[in-house]
Amino acid sequence: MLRTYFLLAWRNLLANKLASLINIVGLSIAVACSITVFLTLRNFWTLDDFHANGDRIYMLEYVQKHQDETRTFGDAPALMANALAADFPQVKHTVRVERENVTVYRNESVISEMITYADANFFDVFTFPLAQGSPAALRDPSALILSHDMALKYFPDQNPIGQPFTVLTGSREQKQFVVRGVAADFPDNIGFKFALLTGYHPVHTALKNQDWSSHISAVFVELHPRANIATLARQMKPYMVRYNARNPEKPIESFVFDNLRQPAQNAYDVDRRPAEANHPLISLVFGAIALVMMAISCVNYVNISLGGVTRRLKEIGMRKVLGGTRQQLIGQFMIENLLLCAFALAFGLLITELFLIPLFNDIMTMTISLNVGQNGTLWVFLIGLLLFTAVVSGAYPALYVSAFRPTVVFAGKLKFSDRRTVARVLLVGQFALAFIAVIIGVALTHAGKQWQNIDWGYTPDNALVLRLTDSTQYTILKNELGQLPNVRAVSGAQSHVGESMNSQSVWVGGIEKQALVFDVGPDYPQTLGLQLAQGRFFDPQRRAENTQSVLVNQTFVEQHGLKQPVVGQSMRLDSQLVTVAGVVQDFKWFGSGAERPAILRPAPESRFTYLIADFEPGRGPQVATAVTRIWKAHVPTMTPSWFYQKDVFENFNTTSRKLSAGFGVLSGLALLIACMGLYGLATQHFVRRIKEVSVRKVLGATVSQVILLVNREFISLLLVAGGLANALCFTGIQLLLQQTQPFTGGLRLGLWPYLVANGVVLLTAALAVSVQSWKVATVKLAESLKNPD
Amino acid sequence: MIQTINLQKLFATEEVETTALNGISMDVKDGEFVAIMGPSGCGKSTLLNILGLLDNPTDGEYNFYGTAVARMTERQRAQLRKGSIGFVFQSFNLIDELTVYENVELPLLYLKTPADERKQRVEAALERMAIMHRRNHFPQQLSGGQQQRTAIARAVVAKPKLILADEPTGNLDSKNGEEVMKLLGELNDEGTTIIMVTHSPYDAGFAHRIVNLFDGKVVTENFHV
Repeated sequence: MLRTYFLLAWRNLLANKLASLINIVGLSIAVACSITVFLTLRNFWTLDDFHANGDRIYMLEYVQKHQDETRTFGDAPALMANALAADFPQVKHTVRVERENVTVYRNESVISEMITYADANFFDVFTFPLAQGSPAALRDPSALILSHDMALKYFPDQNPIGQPFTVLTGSREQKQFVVRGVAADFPDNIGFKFALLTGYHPVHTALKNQDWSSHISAVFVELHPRANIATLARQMKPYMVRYNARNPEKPIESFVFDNLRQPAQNAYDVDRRPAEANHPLISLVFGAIALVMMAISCVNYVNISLGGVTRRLKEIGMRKVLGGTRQQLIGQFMIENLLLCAFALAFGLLITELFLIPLFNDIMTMTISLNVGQNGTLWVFLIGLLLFTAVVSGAYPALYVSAFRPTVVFAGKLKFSDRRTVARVLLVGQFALAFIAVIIGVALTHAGKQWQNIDWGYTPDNALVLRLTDSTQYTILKNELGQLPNVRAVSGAQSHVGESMNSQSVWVGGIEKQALVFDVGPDYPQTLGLQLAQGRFFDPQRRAENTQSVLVNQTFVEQHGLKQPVVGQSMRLDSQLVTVAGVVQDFKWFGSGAERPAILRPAPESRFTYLIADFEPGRGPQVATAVTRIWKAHVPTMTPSWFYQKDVFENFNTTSRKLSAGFGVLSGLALLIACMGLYGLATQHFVRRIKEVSVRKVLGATVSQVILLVNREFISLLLVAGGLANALCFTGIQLLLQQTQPFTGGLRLGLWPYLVANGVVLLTAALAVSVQSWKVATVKLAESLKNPD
Repeated sequence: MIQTINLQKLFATEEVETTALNGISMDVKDGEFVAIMGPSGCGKSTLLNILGLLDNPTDGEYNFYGTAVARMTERQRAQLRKGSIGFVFQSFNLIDELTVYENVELPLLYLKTPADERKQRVEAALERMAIMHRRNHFPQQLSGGQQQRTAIARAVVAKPKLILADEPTGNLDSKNGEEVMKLLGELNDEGTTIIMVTHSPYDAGFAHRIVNLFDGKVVTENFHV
């Protein structure tokens, strides 16, 4: 019997290829979303649970009061580690962990990385197996242990062990390490991790001269088995007193211990917590997304199934006449359903692996992966999901269909209920979402294009920028580069337009204002090609005078209300009185072309971190080769890091493109699902109206009248959805642009993105119902009006 | 005046070919009342569909009031059909969502008849069929006879030259059936050409001529005087 059911189910799937395909695709998208959400939530709920001693590892945190607000902090006074280890026998280990942002120069790029300093017993406490090397490397201050990802990133084709690794620390100190170990790939549910790991050794500048006022990223405590953390926590008072005596301005209220495996309820709210912890709301939101997706898909599925049922009315009637019980019919439909859901599950896994996981890992900091092989809970979830989908999506059609009475079926008197309010509301919801996603997608693409085409205020085509790693390089390189025939001018800067600047207070007429400050060489504005609007540039010959002069941009003049003549006016910057020597035209300093008041202030050569070379048009590659050669001669240990100024916003543009592409995928999905919902409802609706349409056609209705008639309901539902979505988007985007004006600049979207987005959605919707509408409108009257003989 | 010459209709699926009409040649004069009879599956309804311009023959000629229509497209047939043919079906085929009045009004709407004329003609047709008192009811609220009278009102409201009736009494009891046949007889007396498919010899008795079909062919023609 079961075999027959499966055979029949298979034949039915094949017989209704289009409906089956649509159902499978729709369900698989929902299934894929659910799997992704499951993987994410499982990571959330099992964060850091892979450490063998995790239940005995605690983070030392402290509570402080800040203007009536009590806050918990995850960093810790450095000296607490030794104190706890020395004073309490129940403490097995304490581990100090400090982190520092460092810069790694690799070929054309400057990469920001985080280095972690940790005590030598780090690997005794934490379960981070090493793929290569030994934990003893932490005793050597020049040894570096890389995470699996870092090893792949920096040494993709070679063995990292023994390779030199140079970083530039926050205090611009160049440090040479040798790679002595590589960690095994971290599990996905990692909350506390490292990228570059080295020993906690006082030779490192970041760890020098620590006393009771020094805080480090974390102090971890591992207790002996059966030791009680509460007992320990009660004995923290003397340390608090000692700390507060040294830090009277910021006293600590209490110390707390937070378990690595079972974080405290408020863990997500702890500032500077060394291990990630997630807000419970995130779980809720993710869960809700999955549920909504499943609900939408299941309702769509039910609609499409019911629409297809009419084709099988005779079969159902005959089965009953021939003695089939209702249970057997239900069984048959449920097995058809299970088969379809199994396909959807397989497809869903494929979508998860190929699209959603890469997309998720690209957007989120957390990593998820689909290791079906080594994952018991995932299997349980998948089987549960299969059964859930099969029952939820299949139960209603099966029950509904199996209840038909044969006599009614054969007499052709079966009436399908037309009151599917839930389905309609859902359709409006789905289309509203689709409209929103498409509008945002189009708006982002439009914004990206607009940002890219914005006038820079100067010509960036002939400038090459070299990043300097120490203060002595500028003079040497400038002299040699200046000799090159293709180089017209060389200048330097501490902060470079498009890459770096400071936002600072400046007092104009005694009133505090904000401005971006660029510290640059005296000939930097001309070398970059900035345009003078009033006054003069800095005079490279008059150094003493320069130190008291600044250039401002036009936005500075307008926004801060400087009266004419601007040149010669004074203002206070960094407690120094400076005079405006000239006004430059606005220049693009940020990818979006946002205008802000800006000041260019002369800086001494010793502080330059950029060298800018202005070259003859078309000579970029030659200059780049020369720059590399000269650099190698002087700084053989490091690869030069340079870029063309025209590419300075490439990161911004790439991000903006990625975001547009991401929303493109999202809106495509949203649109697909919405159209499936529409298709499902339309299938049912059209089947129900076929007779009426035939009568109307006999009486003279034209094809276009019929198409309009059968789609009238959907048109109004779509208009409601579109109206809602457009109003929401318009207000939302308007508000957002107002809020982010300092970053999005003069971005004006206009009506164009809305028109395009609405056109896309409506056209796709029309396509979704087109085949069926056409079929209905051109129905063969001779057949549809045939008497039920 | 209607004339068919050697009408053929084949229904073909991938594997089987069925001949529904096999060389039907017949004339129907203006003002004639013709009944088409024959056993189930003999091609009566297929013939009626072709005569009513709902379907095209596979082969043969069909002359509809001077126009050769056998090769016309669906759109051309629809244009020709509009207003010139009225249909009466066994299962009435009224639109459930519309009232009696609205059902009858429908053909005039599609003919773009002006509102006041429409009202006048719908009311006249309803009066004529003695269904005026149920004008605001929906089809489900009517008896079978009333539904068929509504359907006839709808068929005549546009004043067609030809009425095609497919088993018009098939779903009615004898009393209502008799009434419907009388109405069709009256319409014919007033000059409307009627072609009716029926199983009932009694109903066929209302016609001037009975065409008997068998296996897609005309086997006999009987004339009443």
